[in-house]
Amino acid sequence: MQRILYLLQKEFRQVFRDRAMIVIMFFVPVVQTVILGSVMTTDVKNVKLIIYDGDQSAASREVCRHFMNNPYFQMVGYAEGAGDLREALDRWQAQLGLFIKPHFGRDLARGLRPEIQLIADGLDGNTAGIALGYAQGILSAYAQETASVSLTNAPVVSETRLWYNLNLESKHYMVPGLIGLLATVVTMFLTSMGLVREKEIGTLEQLMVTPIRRGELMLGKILPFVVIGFVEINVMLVVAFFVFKLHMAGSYFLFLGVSLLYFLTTLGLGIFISTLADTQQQAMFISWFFMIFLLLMSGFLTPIANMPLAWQNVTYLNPLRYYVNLLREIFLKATPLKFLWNEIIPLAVFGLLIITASALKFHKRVS
Amino acid sequence: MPSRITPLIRKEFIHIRRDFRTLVIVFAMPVFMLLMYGYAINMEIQNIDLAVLDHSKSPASSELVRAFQGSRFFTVHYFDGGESEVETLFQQRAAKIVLLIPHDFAQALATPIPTTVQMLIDAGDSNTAQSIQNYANAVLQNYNAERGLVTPLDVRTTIQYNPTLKSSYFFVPGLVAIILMMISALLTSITIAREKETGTMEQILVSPVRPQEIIIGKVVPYIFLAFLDGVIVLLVARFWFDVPIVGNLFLILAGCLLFVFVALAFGLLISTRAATQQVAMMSALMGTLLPTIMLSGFIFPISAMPKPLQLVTYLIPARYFLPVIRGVMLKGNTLEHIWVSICVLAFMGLFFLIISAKKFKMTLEV
Repeated sequence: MQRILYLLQKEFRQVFRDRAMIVIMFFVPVVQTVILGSVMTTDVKNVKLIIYDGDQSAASREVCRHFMNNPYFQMVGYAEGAGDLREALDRWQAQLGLFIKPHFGRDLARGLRPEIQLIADGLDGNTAGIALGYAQGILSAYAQETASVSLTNAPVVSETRLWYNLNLESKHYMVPGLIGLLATVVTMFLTSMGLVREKEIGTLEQLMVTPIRRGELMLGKILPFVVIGFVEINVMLVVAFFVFKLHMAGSYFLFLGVSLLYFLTTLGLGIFISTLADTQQQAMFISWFFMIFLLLMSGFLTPIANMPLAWQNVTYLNPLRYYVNLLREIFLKATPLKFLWNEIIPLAVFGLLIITASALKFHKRVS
Repeated sequence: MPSRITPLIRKEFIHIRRDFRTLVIVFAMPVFMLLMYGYAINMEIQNIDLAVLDHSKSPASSELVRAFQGSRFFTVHYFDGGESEVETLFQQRAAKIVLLIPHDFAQALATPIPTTVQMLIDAGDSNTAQSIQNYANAVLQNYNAERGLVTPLDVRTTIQYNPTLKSSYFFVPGLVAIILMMISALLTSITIAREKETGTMEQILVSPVRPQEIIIGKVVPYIFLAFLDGVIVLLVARFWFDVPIVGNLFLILAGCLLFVFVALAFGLLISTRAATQQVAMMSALMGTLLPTIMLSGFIFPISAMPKPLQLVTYLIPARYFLPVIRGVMLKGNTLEHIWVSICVLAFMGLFFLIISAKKFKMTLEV
């Protein structure tokens, strides 16, 4: 026990002596959370809208006004005609066109169901789909207001309620995911780099010849990064709260618990990488490869359900998939432990397997 | 081409073939990225689990549920229980949307007042939630129309350039920008830093080769590789992901060449400052690749970013290149549509080149 304490002391000294290390550990994640959290938004707002009003009646102007007083659309101007409107889409000046034909107001008043056209630039499919949905919503709301046609029977309408994220802001979804991502980067990279550096400068061999047991050595190497990992995720919680005004809905201790399980995986991978690499540069490069796989197959950016089925099956092998899911569930929905076993059990199994396997490999490698 | 440059180019190709890391960046990374943006990053929502809490249990309510079953977006599951059940359904992830049909649904339908059904959506993922909301409302509208209900407006929608709203149309052509940037800027900066690190740069400098010739010899292989990768991505886009090429192919290739020029100039600029490969790699990643992915509008729409970051995007070359490649490829844009972007890119390239040439001369003289 005493020996481990000495080792820990040594490790912490080594880590904190290095200025660059402190910057990498604390400053970089904060900046990344702030910038990535602001940039990674799939919110659809300020969609550039161009209108052709061929009618110029009170009714058509009323339709236009409905679009202008709306945060989702940003009016870029009026088109002179159909060709002009099409041209604006071609030139990237507008993403959505609203085309109102002549006699719109007159036909509406007479109950002739005047045609109104929405023309969308579909290149960015996500934005286009959502913007069209908004536009149709605005038009049908307008139609209900002005319904002069006598309705034979009334429509079924929906009353929609959005749970957990009233204003539909993507940061609620992205920021908890980011915590998972950055926790991976820090713990996996730092562990592998730390171990490889000792290998590079030869101090690992010096430690080997001391009476310290292998297990103690591993523990002494890993524990500091567990501590750093925990500090890290707490720093990010603070950033999430003060910068993005997000607070965790679920249990804080559950959050810490699943994070510990996930650290088993990342630290295990860090040790594994250190047995493969001889230089810090190699360690960094191999870590990138693991990182790409973890990120790609985690559902961090877009839902896993949208992937092809074969890809979805591969994601079950990815510990980050479970961790990101857990973070989002706990953070946003306060999902209690009893509904989370489907994620926690695989996470624990992967963590234990990976850390045991890497410890054995490390053991063999050094002896 | 002067005969002195050809051996330099050959030397560079030999370096590339020997260096494992370069080969990985040139060949493995583009494949990775194609898989990632072709498949893994997909915004097309499908198979949404819809839970029905049918309190009416009438033929009328079954008919409404059938409308949802008929939609290819929803998978319908019946559940018992009241509104208190909803939270559990969301937390168990049994459903993304809950349709609550009130017990007096059938009676209300017969009255001239609109009948309300409740739709509760798990909006944790805001983007998916918005799409779900749109799809559900569309189903409801169809249902109303089929009941013979006439709306006062006849709304017609047309979607241009990408009628089925496929994500791959958006991401795969954009990937050309990322890959060109990665190879041109990252590799050139690393390779020059390597010559400096190992001291071979000085050896070349004392030979009768002129500095311009060194630079040309350095960058030509990477222009070639970048271009090759760009063409490969275009081929995969066309024949694997079925992205149409509407516009002029020569204009696309010319645009790529211009962008390679900008990226190379930027890579040179980095290499004049970076003394070691590691510094070169980190600054190339931080200075080019990340901003290109994050701030160019490649994935995340610029219009949704905070204002200060929107201003930053004007400094990112890919911001100007993306409309060029996407526009020519999918919208059939001609030079007349995109000349502003082309001019900005050309100006940026020249600017980087002039600065790096100045810096390069200085470092050589010292």
